[in-house]
Amino acid sequence: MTRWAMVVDLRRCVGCQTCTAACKLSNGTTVDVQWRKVLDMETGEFPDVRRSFVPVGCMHCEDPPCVEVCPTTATRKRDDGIVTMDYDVCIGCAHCVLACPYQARYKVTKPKYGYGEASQHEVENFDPAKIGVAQKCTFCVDRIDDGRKKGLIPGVDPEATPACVNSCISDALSFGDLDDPDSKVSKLVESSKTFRMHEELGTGPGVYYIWGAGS
Amino acid sequence: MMKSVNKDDIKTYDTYCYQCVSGPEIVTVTVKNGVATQISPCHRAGEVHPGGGKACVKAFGLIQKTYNPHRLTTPMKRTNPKKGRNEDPGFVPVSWDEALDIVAEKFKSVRAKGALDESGYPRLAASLGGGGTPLSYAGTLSALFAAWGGPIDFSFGSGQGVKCTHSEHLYGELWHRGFTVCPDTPNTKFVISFGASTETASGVCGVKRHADARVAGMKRVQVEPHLSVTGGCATEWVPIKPKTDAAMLFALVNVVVHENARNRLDLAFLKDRTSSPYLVAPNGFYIRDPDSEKPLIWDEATASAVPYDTEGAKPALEGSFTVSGIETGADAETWTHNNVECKTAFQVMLDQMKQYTPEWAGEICGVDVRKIRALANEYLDNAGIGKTIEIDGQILPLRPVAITLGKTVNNGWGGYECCWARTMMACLVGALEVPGGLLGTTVRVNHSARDRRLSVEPGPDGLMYFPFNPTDKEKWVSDPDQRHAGRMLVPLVGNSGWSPALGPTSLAWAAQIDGSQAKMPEMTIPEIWVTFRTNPVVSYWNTDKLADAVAKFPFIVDFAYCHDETNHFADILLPEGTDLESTQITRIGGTKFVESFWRHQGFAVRQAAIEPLGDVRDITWISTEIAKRAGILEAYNTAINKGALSVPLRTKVYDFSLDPTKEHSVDEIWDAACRAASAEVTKGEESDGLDYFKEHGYRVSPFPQVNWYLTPTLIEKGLRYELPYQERLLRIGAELGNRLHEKGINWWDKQLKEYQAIPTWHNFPGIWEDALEEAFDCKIGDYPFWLMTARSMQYSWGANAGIQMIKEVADNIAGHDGFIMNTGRARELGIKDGDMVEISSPNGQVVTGAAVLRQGIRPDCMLMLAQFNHWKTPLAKDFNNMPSMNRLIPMLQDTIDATGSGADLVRVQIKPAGGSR
Amino acid sequence: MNGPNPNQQTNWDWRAASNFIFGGAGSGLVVCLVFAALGVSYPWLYLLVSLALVGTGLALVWTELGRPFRFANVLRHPKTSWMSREAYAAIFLMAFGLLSLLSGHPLAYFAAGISGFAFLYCQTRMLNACMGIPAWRVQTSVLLFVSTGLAEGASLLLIIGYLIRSVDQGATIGPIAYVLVLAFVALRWVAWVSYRNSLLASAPTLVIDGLNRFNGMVQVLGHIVPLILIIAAITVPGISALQPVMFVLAALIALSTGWFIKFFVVLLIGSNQGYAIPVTPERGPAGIVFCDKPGWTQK
Repeated sequence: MTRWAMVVDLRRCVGCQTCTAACKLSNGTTVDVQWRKVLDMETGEFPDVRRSFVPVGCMHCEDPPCVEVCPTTATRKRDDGIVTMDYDVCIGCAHCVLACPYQARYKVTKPKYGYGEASQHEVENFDPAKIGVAQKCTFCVDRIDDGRKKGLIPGVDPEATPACVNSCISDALSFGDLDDPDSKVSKLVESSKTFRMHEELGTGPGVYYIWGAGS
Repeated sequence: MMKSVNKDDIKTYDTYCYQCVSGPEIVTVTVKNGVATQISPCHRAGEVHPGGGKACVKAFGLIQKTYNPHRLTTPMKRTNPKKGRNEDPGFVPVSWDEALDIVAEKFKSVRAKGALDESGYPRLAASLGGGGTPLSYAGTLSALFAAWGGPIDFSFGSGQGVKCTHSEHLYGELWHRGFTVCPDTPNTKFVISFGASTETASGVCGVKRHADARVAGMKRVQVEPHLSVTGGCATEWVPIKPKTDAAMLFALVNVVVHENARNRLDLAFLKDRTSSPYLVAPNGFYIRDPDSEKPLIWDEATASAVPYDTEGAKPALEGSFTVSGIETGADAETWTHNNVECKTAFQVMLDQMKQYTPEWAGEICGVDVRKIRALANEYLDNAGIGKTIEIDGQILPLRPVAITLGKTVNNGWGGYECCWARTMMACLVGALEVPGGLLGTTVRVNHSARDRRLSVEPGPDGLMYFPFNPTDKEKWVSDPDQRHAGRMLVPLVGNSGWSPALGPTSLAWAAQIDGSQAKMPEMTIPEIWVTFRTNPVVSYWNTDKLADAVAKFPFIVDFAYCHDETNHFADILLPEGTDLESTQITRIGGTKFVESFWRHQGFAVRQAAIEPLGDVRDITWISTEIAKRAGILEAYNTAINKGALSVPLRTKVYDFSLDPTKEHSVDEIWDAACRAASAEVTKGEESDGLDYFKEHGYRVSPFPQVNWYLTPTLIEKGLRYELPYQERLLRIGAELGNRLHEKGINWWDKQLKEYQAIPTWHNFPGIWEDALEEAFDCKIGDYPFWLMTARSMQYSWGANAGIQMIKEVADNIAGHDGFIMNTGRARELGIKDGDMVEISSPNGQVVTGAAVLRQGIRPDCMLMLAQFNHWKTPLAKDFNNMPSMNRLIPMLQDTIDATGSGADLVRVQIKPAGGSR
Repeated sequence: MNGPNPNQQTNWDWRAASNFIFGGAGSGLVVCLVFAALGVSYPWLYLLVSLALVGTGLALVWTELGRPFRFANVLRHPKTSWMSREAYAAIFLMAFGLLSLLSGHPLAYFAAGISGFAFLYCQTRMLNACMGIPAWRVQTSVLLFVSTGLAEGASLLLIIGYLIRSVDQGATIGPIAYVLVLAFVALRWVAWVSYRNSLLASAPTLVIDGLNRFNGMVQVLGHIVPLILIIAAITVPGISALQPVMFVLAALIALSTGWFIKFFVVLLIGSNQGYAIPVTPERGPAGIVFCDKPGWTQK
């Protein structure tokens, strides 16, 4: 089996938002829609304060609440763990948006452009199917599927790897097959202290956060 | 690489992003149906690029930057002769012919009067954006400047000198060829960072190096008044009072030299590689051998004073010795001494530092005394004296400790002291310019920027040569040819191509606002001002008054992107192609700021991935046209042939020079440059031109890692680092004082006091407080907050304020939609998160912004990220929540140090403005 | 963009809230009609009001769909989706309602009542399935929304009964209508207290602030007052003339409280989860810090 997963090394992340920007461009998301973004979190009180930068997006959960609530089956979970969206089926009820405890989903009812009217690149990148429906990070599923057809390995070959991971300048983001013990993500999870966000909710996120060395 | 992916609908091009000083990065542009749609890392470049071929967030904004509907896409001419912020310039579109003819005619008529005006100042002035990055977009503009044939005034800075790391630029380069300075991060273990903005300003290479080092166990302690992004990425945050860093650094030196055994220091390094053993005579200059005039050291083997380079001598590091010899002071004043007590330079330093205990510093800095002591000892614990590492087959010392300095720490008063102390800390453990230690990156005052090792030439007294501006009577530059009088006032800035940008730029602006200083030539306004990728009306200080000064400039030519605050005053707007629309090559690799350490060096191409929008033109075409129409084409081509495009077109090895008499197309010019670049990289074996670069993106040759370190070169040349004692600076300062006083100039006297052989603590925060009180007749207590700024990864250097996507993603990081203040302090004042607040400084200026409440800032400080307060730039002018400190900082000479630098620092008061974000 | 702290959801606006308000009341009414064993005059009128309310709610929520003309797709996932199930329940409710109107057969009414309850339950579980909204995902929200639907239904039963009687003085009002109001308002009171307690332990601060702000009003005005009115109307001797007024007033209060509760839960304390990390990352050899959820209040 294959379980695509992402590993975020919080020790490395600097909050630069390169992944946020790369995702926006790669997926042609409209203004204020960020399938991937990096949070700036502050912990403690002056002078004992920590600041953490936390990339978030769809967690591609093992037991995704969005899939359960979706009345149309537009949202599905594939056998390889990727939670997908079928824009042609979705009715835009936003139930999944509210079911997701990671604020990973967006519903855009009308396109919004950077400067009011659509610029040339926004015209080229515009996908009308995404209007009025739920949208979210797909782990760049097209890149993964197309890449695999070419014999490439997601997480290893950039052409088959999510755009955010490709762009990450601090190597904080890694992607790969968690069921493959030799994959980078498996080795990272194995050799690091990790958590998954809101783990208490039982969603089984497919994004692991490294916070320390050692198992 | 250009390749066809799908029926020619989609093409990809490799090009570079050089939007910040830490670039360039190679990126791949995807063009779909003729429209640039995607930017992605150039993974292939990962084979040579130390950041794995990645590019930072700014690169991803290039698409929107290109298609921003606010861009100017046709030349424009001003129709309203009145200039002022509230005057509508009345710009109207004109043809390129008309615009170029206007500019060329102006060039001709002004040049005909002579390059210098009646005051001796250049009639032509030019300003470029910060960090030298515009040059990688300027095409052949530098050749046009060279063809002008006379001095050009570059002293109207857009932030140069006051928003860089100025003290480091000058002292770092003096001491160890470090125009900017950083740790040898891949090998280091312990770094104390005084406000360095590593994670926002060191680019892809720096971010990657530090992330790798963190995971490998490097400890970095961030000492700064607010918990910056960089502080967030550090192991620990130590909140320090603004501008007191020098006190803490002195205390670190104190603990190392007065609370620890000597054998914890790298004594061999101090004795052999620094000027520590040189004996200091009673007047503060070295005591010298009367015959050779070489400084003397105390030889413990023979118990006698001998010249510093005596074979077999065992130098005494510390102590006081009875010695005879001569002493040479300023202006060749000489004293002869017989049997006088002379301390070693190291001993003088020890005595000076004795007073700076952690207890003393703790009070000043607001930092726990135990923390200061612990950090000093941890530094020593990690220094690993005696350890070595093999680099490229050479065994080198391994000293994995470093102290880095940030922008405001490193600018203005206190910068010298901080630079000295942290470099001294490196010397004490032999960590200067060795693996794991403190490294310089590149040189800009010396030559060659391609390999700073080449700048290591013998100077006087066994020290490195440094191209000080002369201070002796005969050669002192008494008649400045730049309005900031850099070469006259600041010997350290030298006379390189970068020197004008390193002078006291605030003096140039202040003189435009307030008139010339006493005994200086009457201040004049440049007859032509050329601006390129710069916006000083927003990015400098006292911006409202600066705008009024700019409004008096009679003829301004701006290479325009969109309307902005500076070109609001322009006469002609020439829209040049953006990053994706025009062609040139730039140097990559080697070692360069801020933490770019490559194992290769060579050239990368910026290629026109798309057709230019509207009627915008490649800047090389524009420059050629101006040169041709102004009648200076031959000089222009000659400048190109000589190397104005960063590579000479003719050397002993190759010749791709252009016919100077003919006009050449953009591609012809850059094809020749590419051929020269190919020849340089391959040592003359290859001569591929522009097509090769367009296909491959870049061409490099190996640059061994061992070249990152300067110490092996000093050993090879038998030279020493000039630390701890600054005999040369002491002499130069005294001579400069003599020259200025001879001319009747006393207004630089405060600055002259900075020329100290061993620095001492002054009440640095008090300098700002006193200057503000004096200038504005206020009580500083009424302005209870220190206002500071910090770099933003998303905005700094990128000219990105008008790019919506950048704004959108930057807002994820605290402080990009308001100003930051301490949560507890705000609560005391009844200010809630998002409340609109008026912030005013003693200069009477007021800005308004939304309060962003954070725990990670001292209660007596406030922070305004980056630089906003735009009033013309589309989109940015609507950022009502985001104030800028630039309007609030007056240009006060008392806050300018001897290097001509000031700091982004001012005291402010606040009051609720009503409403919230 | 939103930071780590929780903030009010905006995807379901007043139109979605209207589905809970009108749909809940309408379906509650049809259930109460059956509870009253149709011991009322003009039962078809009650049913008509019920169907109209449910229909209004559905129509309003339909306008909130991003792709309204694909609405039939809502039926594709009854296996796990409470929204799909709600849609089926609505179809059954409408079908049996129509059948009841046409046939007047008590069994049809009964089937409509069952469908109405199914609809009410489904929409309650639909809300409860929103794992991203802490104030909705608590189990106690189910009883709160079911009980308030029933309380609103009972209130409407009473109100409509008196309205009919004002026209037709011979009309009978369900003999247990006020008992149902009494019972369901009491049940809702228990549900509210239980709901509030379940959130006070741990919830986004804005949820707790909201609960504390409106608790007094909801408990006293929304529950104690109508209960007192009904009990007083039944038990205090000599006020029989005031009894109808007291019943109707109590029902109106109970109804509007129910609607307010739904408005409040959906639009005022519908805060999302926010983001949280349990521990800060090691930046070099540092001691780590365990974190609370930002923007949450926890006992």
